[in-house]
Amino acid sequence: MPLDFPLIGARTAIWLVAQLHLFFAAFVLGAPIFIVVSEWLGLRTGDQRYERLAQETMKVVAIAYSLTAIFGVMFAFVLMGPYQPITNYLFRALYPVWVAYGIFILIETVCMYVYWYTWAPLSRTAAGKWTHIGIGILLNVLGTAVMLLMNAVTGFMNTPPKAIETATLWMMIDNATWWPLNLHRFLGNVTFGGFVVALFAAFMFLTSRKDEDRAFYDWMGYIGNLIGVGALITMPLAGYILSREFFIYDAQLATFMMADKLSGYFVMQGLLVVLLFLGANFYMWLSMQRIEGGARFAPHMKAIFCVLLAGGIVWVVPQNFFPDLLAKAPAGVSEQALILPERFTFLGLMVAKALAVTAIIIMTFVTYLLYRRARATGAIRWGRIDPMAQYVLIFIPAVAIYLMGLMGAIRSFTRMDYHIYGAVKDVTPYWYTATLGHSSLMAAVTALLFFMLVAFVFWVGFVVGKADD
Amino acid sequence: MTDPVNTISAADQNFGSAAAAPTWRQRWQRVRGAALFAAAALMVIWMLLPLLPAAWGVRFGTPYLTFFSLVVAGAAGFFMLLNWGPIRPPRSAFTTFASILFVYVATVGGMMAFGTWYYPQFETPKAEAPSPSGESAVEKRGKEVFLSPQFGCFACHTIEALGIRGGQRGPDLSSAGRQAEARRPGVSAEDYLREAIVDPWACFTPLPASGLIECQAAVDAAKTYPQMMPPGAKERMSAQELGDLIAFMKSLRGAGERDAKRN
Repeated sequence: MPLDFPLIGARTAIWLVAQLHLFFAAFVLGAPIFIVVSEWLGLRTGDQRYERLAQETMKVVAIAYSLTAIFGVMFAFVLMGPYQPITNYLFRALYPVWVAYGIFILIETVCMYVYWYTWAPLSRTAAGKWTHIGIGILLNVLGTAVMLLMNAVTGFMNTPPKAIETATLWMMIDNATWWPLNLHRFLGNVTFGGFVVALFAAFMFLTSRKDEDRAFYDWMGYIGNLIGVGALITMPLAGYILSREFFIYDAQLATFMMADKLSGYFVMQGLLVVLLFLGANFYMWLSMQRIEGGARFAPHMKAIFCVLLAGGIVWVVPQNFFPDLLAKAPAGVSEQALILPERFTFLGLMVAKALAVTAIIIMTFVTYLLYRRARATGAIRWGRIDPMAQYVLIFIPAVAIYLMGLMGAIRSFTRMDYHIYGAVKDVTPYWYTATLGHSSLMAAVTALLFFMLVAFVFWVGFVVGKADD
Repeated sequence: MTDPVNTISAADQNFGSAAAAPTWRQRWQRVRGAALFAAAALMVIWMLLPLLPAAWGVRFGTPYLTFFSLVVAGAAGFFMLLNWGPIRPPRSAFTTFASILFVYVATVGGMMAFGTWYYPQFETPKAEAPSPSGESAVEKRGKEVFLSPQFGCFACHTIEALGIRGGQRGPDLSSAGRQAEARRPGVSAEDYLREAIVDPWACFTPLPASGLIECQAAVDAAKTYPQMMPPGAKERMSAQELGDLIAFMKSLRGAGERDAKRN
């Protein structure tokens, strides 16, 4: 190892900066997708709330963009120092990808600033507005291209071509997990963007003192959460497709994920997903209460929640409590106590888990159908929602951000003790798979740092400005 | 029992005022159903299930009973929240920020606590090992070489006897000094250790379960550790560092426990 990082070590250092970079990148890539859609809806329907949602979210994106770049540069610094050998290898192997990445980042940045700073001038005429929406679409195309390029590098590290010595550049880019990763991250970014917008709305709702502001941020929180949940529903399928590619690529690697040292991570993932769905449904319960006559749906919703909880139990219950395949039961504890009784073994199988998550998704969908039904028969009193709903909108992003951090660790650890699986060994002192406890700590630290930084963005962008007004 | 949704709808008319929030007595009436259900379910889990005949196949171990208890507590908590009724909005900027921070930190902290508790630790090197008494200066330097990230010995080797919990790929070195005396007949412990570090593929260390004492000329999955230790230590270490490391290895004479357990 050419250089280690003082005090915290190189792995912790790269973990921190890479994860923070990815959090901000996910937001600045995911949010513009529905910002443009919202701007278009505002133009099409004449509802000014869509325009305001788009503009305020874009203001957050514009500030967050700088933080994305800052953490990107810090990520590069750590790569060039302690991880210089693997960085050199990746630059050599995928040189055109890096060049294209640099070019696309540059154009995307220009496009982002043009989109943001021409908002008011181009909003004066219909033709100008359409031009502005066109710039927004271009921004999304460029952002997606940037994501595809980096996913090629990430996928290459996880699942490089088997005959790596003779592989062409395209074979390295179009590796086994490239498209599954593209799909997973695209949907993940939209989910993440939606939840961060909901977080922003909750933050603004609680700090607002005017009724019209509360009404708007209540609506914005609902829309952000709707987008987040809408994309979240598709995530288990996208995750399944990604895992399936890992299985097809190398069964040993997949076993390592699902049955060996990363199995505990997946139990944790199950819990976090259940919490996300419970949070989303609880928010809908509270949302129902601001609809006149919504009370009549309460018994139906409670029945739905019972099914949701039952599904959650099956989804989360572990097949066993062993941390890895080699582990033995601790002294004084029988092995039988750490595994499911034979009668209940089916609960630990993938069939049961898939059925459980399907039930959870369907029940969430039914909750939204009930809400839709209630909305059709009663007026919504925006802003007159139980403030607890805003704390739910803070809880959901907290879980989502933590989940994203932990899932990133899983994908990275799937390489085992390789930088590039099967090809380039990790010979640093940090080659080993970190414990779930250590990863949980890292996910918590990065989630808290991210929260502090976005809270700063909200404060600088909105609270300080509002105080001046 | 009061219908929570209707109550909240009525209370919503006074949103933002103190009157919107129900009294604690009203809250208890709303949540007591879920609380009683949780109490009953916990009694079934901890008092009834262990009494059922083993032949019924519903005997769960303590970790599962704990898991089910957490699920019951979580489910009851969820239904209590459903019926809780409106809360008061924060009244000052400080309480607003504090409440937002509290919810966020409590959520993330709860996740971290679960992740830390859920599974035992494995393969985390412990850099700060307890210092045994009577350690010479050269052995101390050798231990520093062993723990140095530059060479990363601990990435694959544990020294259970000293509490150094490193990787598990290579043999536990707790009694490396004693074992080195018998690994190669006619070769001193010091020379054997030098060879094992500098040219590890010259002779392969037997697995504890194999019953072998001497090192083997070829890799055998059933009898020896695999061909994993990287050669080239001589190029990366100075003569002083190599000498110190050998001296440290020679000083390790305690009985290793990990390999015996593992095999």
